[in-house]
Amino acid sequence: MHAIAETMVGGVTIGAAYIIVTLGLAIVYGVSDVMNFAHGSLIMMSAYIAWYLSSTVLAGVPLPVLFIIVPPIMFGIGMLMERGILRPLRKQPNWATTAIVVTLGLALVINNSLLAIFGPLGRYIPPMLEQGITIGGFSTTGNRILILGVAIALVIGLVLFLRKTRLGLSMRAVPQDIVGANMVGIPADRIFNFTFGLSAALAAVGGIFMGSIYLLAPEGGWILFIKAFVIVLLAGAGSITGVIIASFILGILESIVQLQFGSLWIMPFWFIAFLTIMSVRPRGLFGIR
Amino acid sequence: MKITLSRKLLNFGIPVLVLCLLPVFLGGSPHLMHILIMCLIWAIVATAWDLVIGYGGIFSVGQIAFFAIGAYTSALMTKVGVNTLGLGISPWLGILMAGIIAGLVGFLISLPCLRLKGAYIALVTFALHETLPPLVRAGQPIGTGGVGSLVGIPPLQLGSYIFTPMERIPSYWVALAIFCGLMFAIYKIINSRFGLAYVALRDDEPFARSLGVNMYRSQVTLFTISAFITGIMGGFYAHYLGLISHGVLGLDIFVLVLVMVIVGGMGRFPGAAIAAFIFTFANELLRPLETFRAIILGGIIIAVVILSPQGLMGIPDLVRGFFQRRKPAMEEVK
Repeated sequence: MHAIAETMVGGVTIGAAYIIVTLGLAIVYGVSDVMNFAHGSLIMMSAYIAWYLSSTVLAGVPLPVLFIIVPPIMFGIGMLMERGILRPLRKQPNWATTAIVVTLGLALVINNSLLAIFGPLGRYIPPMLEQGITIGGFSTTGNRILILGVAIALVIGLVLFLRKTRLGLSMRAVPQDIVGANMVGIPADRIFNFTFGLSAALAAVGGIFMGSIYLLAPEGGWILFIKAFVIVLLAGAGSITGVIIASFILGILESIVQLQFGSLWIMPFWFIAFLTIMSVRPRGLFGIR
Repeated sequence: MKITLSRKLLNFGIPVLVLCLLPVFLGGSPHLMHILIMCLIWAIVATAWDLVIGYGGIFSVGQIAFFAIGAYTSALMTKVGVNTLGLGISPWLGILMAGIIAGLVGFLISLPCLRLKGAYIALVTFALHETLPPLVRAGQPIGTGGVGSLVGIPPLQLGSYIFTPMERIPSYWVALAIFCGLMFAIYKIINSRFGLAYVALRDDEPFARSLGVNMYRSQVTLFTISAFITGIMGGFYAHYLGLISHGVLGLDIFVLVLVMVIVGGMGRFPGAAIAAFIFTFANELLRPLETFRAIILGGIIIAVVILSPQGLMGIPDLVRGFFQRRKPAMEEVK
């Protein structure tokens, strides 16, 4: 009984980490219909930037400072990415496919640049809260509770932003009716640009956490992207509620599979779960289009 | 009529003649012949992939999976000894079975997959690709080689002649024969009524549907044919090399063949094959650069998609457009 509960708690933490990693991908997919294959690479890139800063320039400075410095840098990089390689494509027919291809190319460039600069050795960002905590008989680490807290805070913040601010409402208007949005004075190009920036900033938050849970490796971006990819599609068309539910389902599944069959079988089980749910709900859990 | 016929003959005859004479001119060094054979193999795989991406408008990323399925099928069915299926069929039949099994898997996966759209298709086909390495590892008892390589695949045989990996030139002729046959088949498919239906579907789906094109059935057919062709090439690859490992499913080959499809020009027929020749050689030349090779390939993907969306085959249009000072024709239906 205790073991089951422990597995569930572990699964919820993994799910929370996936929420942080996936939100950025889901927002871009929801607003611009682009599946950004370089999202995992952006996460790894920000993790490496965080690691580099914390071990050189910012050595000795409290780690939460990274959350003030790295996301703005990534915000700029995300906007550059949209302006540089995605906006030129939007004039072409069939651009959702070419966007996949071009972001795949970018992922190759980023991953291998990281490999060339930092080498294949694993790197490690020290966790923010190291001491273990015991709540109601369950032992866990402070870092895990922090991740859960940050995931909840990010989701609430994002939902409020999308529902209550002008910019957030514009981001929801553009995918619904791009012509109509233009008519009422919403500049679609600027919204896409901002969305990619926001997505990369969210990737930065995910990257800092990922770096403190796992070893950083240049190729790690792929597996992160694939997991986020499954979660976004299972969630359905950029739905944030969907992302939360899908992350927890797959996080708990991962925790169980890891215990019973070993980590090699995590992805096959994910795909089985994905196909099963998709055959009942072909547009994802909360998809409308 | 006579002119168009001879024109067609020239379009096919000259490349085939050049390919036939290549070993004579290049002296037939084993390393070079190996690269040329790989060119022929990737040319077919890339062209079959382009059939799905470029003509079908289906963004499938499972092509290398079909290649591996073909290679493993033929290897498992032809090999005899301990820890094998023990069927021991002829390698020629094995290659045919490779195509049939890959085609069958393609058919089965396309049934649910092609009900979906866009990124979902990419994910499902990618899932197929990702499921294979654990299967290969778990298939040790039937002789998949587990974490290592599957070795000792019997070579092709014609009468009493055995195509050993040491003798590259005869293997080159076999590869060339298969290449010519499959390229001609793909050409025929593209220029048939079905081929036109795919182009119509890709460019204007509602209009094509209104003309009575059954989108789902056409796409499933195309996907199956593409998987069949790729499986045959996988089977040939296994018998040519004599060994196969799950390394074939790695990112390297996947990216290389994808680059061929994109640089060749999606949906522009011999483009992918031409790019296959260029990039198989380029890949060998860039090998000493290691990590930077992948950065260069990634950069090429980005540059081509942005600058010349029709790839190599679009360059004449771009040049013409530049001189005539008007926009190049983006969507040109043959």
